[in-house]
Amino acid sequence: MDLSPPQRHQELRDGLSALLASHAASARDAPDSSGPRDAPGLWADLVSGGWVTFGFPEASGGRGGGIGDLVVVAETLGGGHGATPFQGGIVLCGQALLTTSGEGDRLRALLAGERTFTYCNWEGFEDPGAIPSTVEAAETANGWALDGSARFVPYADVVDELLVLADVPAGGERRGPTLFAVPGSSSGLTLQPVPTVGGDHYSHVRFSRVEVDATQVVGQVGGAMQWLPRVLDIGRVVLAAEMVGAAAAALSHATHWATTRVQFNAPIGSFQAVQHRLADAYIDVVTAQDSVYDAAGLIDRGEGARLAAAAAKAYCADACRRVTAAAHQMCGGEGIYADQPLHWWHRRVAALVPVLGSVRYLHAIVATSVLSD
Amino acid sequence: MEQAVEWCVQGQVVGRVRACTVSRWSGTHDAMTLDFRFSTEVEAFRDEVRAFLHEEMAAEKVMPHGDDGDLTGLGEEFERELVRRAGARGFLGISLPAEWGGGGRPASFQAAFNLEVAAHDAPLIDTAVTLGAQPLLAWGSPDQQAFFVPRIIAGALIMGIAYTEPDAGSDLGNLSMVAEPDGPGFVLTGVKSLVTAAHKADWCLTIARTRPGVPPREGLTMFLLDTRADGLSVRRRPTMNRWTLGEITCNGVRVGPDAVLGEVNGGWRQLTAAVATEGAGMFHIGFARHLFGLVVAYVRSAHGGAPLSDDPLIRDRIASLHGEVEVSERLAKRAIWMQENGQDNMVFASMAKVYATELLQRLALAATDIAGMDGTLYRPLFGPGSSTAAGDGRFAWEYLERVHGTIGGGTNEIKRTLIAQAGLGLPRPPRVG
Repeated sequence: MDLSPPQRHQELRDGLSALLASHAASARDAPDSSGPRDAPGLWADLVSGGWVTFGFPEASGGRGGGIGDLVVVAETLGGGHGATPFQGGIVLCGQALLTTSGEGDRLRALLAGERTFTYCNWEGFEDPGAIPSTVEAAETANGWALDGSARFVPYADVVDELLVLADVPAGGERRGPTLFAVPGSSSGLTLQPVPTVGGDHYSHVRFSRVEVDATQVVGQVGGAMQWLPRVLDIGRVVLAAEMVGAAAAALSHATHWATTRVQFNAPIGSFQAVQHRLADAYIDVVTAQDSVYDAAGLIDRGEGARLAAAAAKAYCADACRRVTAAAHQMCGGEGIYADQPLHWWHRRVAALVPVLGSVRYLHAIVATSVLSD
Repeated sequence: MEQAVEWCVQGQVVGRVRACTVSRWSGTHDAMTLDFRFSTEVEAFRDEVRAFLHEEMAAEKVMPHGDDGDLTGLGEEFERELVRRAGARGFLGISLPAEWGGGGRPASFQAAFNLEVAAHDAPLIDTAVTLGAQPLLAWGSPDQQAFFVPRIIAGALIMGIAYTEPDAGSDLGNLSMVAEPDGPGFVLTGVKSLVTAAHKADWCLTIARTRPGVPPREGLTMFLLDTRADGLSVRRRPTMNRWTLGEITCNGVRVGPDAVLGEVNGGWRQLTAAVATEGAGMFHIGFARHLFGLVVAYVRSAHGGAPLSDDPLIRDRIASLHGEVEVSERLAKRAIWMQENGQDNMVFASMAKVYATELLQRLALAATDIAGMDGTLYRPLFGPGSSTAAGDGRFAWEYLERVHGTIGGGTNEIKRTLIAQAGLGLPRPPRVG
């Protein structure tokens, strides 16, 4: 048992928090629910400052370290005030490229910030292994043609390339999920913005005979299931970390409010009803956080993490929603104003809950593992 | 990488933050992720304990000793013998200092021991080590330590804790047992209630008022009370789950100065410290893992049809509970890790207690819920005709048993107040009256 927080993680948190604080005001001025809430300039600072390439090997231009570091970055970003392409653009694309051999150039370009990517599952961020394909690729004389559509694709309108997971039917026999790198400027690609409760920068992407060369296949044709489970584990843990960061920020905000808000001639935080609800929220935050660190540790030690990652994200989804709801209740009427930060974390958690698997779906994964041996 | 990033608010440069300048990684992954696993040494010890319990708690050995009047479910003779055997194996006091004859191992050894004994229903939980060792080592006189500590570690005595009174539960400052000076000693008069194991304890730790007319938390003194003393009587009061708690009445019990534990009139400080050093409650995790395992076994077995584990609603609930058992264990481990590393773990130990005891209630509720009519079958632990089969009267017993966990050892309300004030820094309420 070793639960000492690495010194480097504290340095990461402190530095990244300061950077986020510097962008907080501009993010808060952004629209609240009808469109994306990007913090202008934040992403550029995150990339140029080298904040987002932890967990990737130095040989590829990353900062080294492991998933234990990715989650610290995600958690800290979760406590910020705007959405970023971190999850889709760095974590999922980067880890997918890292685990598919021969994609060193794309990964290096991604980590160097020279080229931008996004990850496009066939039903948004749900687990593609569990649902029928909505994007299919057919072999052509020069390469491949993609047809179909995918919802909830982050930052699809601004990236250089979309890494698109598509099913490859071959005659009667399907060759299986395959990853394609589709340039954002491809003809036949149409995008429609998708508003979400969490201010995500999502598009509904439609593919109408989008043609790519054979060289745009990432990894093996039909080979996606070889790397996808690991990437999904990592993605779930990183998403859980982002929820934890949002919940922790909400708790901290509510605690401050309860300490300073006076009613009945006393700070409301001195009342038992308030203390007990915040105590429960505190328990939720620390237990959610440790479920993330534990799952990240399993991945970094090369142990099977499918169960732990699914359980962690399911638990964080429930615990973090309890926390932001409690924080709102404690902050009363003041907390519901759009110029106050609380609603942002409440939105963020709600928007992240179904990504890469709803609680129901993740529980099914957990139950299969727990009930089968 | 050294790089300055300017940051602006409304076009004004208001500060500069450095770009990410964290230290380089060592090249191994060990240092950068948290590890919640017990060390291999602790796991090896745990295996030893498990093997010991597997043998000692074998059904044919245990069943003849069932006693539903005892919290452990087993008769006093069985318990005394098992505690002695555990002492002989060096299991008791595994984490007490070696200079006192303890094992001198880190707190996670004791935690692993507690986890396993709870998971095996073994009567080794509220032993003298858990209850008496810390206050004796902290405040005992050399004579008291020389008498008690070796006996505790050998498993040669049963101890009880008698702090609570009928009018002093969570509000221990309100206690009214009086210890009047009597020459060099004291005469104790009053009633202590809710004393676990009172009927079989050789000694009790207690607290009484030694100075009248001072504020409630002053003038208190802790005592080591011989339960065979003249004037002391124990009334056994059955709980809803059949086993009894004891009400101890002291009717002019004379004790010598050697019965005083620690400082005369310094009892409040000692009591709060004793309560604060209560462990992370790893035995709750043992109970939880055991019950969860029974529920899993129950839903996987076919009861004249398809197993309940085919039902998606059952599967969802099992998954949710699995996650919570894991969460509970991590929380307890964090509290133990803090203790081992010299950190104040009062807030985290309180969280672990609150979480685990409420999880046990949810588990018992799920078990009875899932089992339907089987969930209403009742048999006490080790009762006649009972078996360890899932659902065989056990779930209903659990449903009743798990009620008191959130009350004893500091109510969960007291713990939440502590978490809010000591953990989150929320202000104390304005004092009433």
